[in-house]
Amino acid sequence: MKTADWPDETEVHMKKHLSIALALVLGMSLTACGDEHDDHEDNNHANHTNVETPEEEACEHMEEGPFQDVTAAEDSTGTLENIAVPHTRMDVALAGEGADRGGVVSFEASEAGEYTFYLSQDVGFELADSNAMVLTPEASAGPVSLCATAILATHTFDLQVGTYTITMGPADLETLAVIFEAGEHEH
Amino acid sequence: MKTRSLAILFLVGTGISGCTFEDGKPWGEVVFELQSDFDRDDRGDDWLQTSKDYDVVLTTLKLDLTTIDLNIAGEEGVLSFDPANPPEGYSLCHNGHCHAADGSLVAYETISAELAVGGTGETLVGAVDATIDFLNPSEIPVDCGSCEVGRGTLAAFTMRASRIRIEGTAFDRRLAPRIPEDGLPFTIDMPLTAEASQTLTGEREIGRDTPVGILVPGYFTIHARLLDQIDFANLHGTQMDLLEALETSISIERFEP
Repeated sequence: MKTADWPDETEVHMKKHLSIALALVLGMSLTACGDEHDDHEDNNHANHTNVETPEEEACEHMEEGPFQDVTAAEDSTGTLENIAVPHTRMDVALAGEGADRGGVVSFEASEAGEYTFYLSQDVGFELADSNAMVLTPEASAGPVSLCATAILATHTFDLQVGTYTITMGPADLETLAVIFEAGEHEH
Repeated sequence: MKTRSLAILFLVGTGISGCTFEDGKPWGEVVFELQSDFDRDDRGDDWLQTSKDYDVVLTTLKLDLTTIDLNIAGEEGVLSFDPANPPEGYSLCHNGHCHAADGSLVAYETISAELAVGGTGETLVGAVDATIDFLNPSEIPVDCGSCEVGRGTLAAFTMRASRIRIEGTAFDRRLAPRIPEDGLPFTIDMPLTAEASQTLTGEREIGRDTPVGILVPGYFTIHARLLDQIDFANLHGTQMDLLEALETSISIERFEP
């Protein structure tokens, strides 16, 4: 049996918060019962959800970020960088020179369903599963009307949970910006 | 004259001490009803698919929980932040989440909980100190002593874990397998510092006109996507972010004991 036995100092960090020691109950209790505070107006915007279409989301992130740099590998034989970072514009530095630039990255799909990739340039974009079987897009389209100068091409694929390779190019382009939005999920 | 002044002072004093002291009841008394749970995320019943192209048969998924806290904000402690003006450390808030400085996406609820925990108020600390099984959902024991709380607003809930244990067998779905074809039995047993918070909603007020009983039912759910973080061909290089795969679903119900 293979065992991963991390040293004690290894820590998996979740969100760190400040803790508060137990406060005095008495102090709070001394306030009179009759001065009941007005109901707090719930100013917490946590549940305010702005419903955006995938295109609106994609345009927003393409123009405003956040941004993350990754580097495409020349081929799929080595370790590939995963660009499945939600709500983030992935700026993929292409390998090679001149008009033959291109490269390969990976995409780890964590849910089965429809994924749409939004590209800053209309360049070659091929997606294959981990056994090198190339998938045919469910749909492909040109510029997104909401941000026609920022997103010039889209490709939609039906993916299963798993790792895919994305091959981009050739193109006379140093960096290709890519954003994905997950659509309808299989259940 | 002096006697009358003392009498008045006594009456005023008893008035200030409020109704809680008159009838011996606390402002609020908390009862936890928490359970562990595991969500397979539609990845299969027995064999769980992972995004790294493994199939995993899980036999153990346990967390050591240490404490579970309830934060009660003071009466002036209305918890809020405006997504248009993200709190320090965050940027671009929309669609229910903000972008943290490290690039991660953090839900509004979590951020509000952070603000609550950092605020002024009372914290009811519940001790758990138990290993909780998530594959076989079970009740989570919480010892909060008298479980009494003062008046205020129930604000946030925080859970802390100190260790995770995952056991099972992994299989490679790729044609060129990275691990033995007949499966790789594995054990991950590692300490961790994990703290998850959730902003509470519902009947949060604790005051004169609210029921004393505060039932806090809910679930801690670990999602199967936790396994996405594990490369079974390189177990020792695995880094895990439990928060990414842990969901807390806590509510509040009020009752008269």
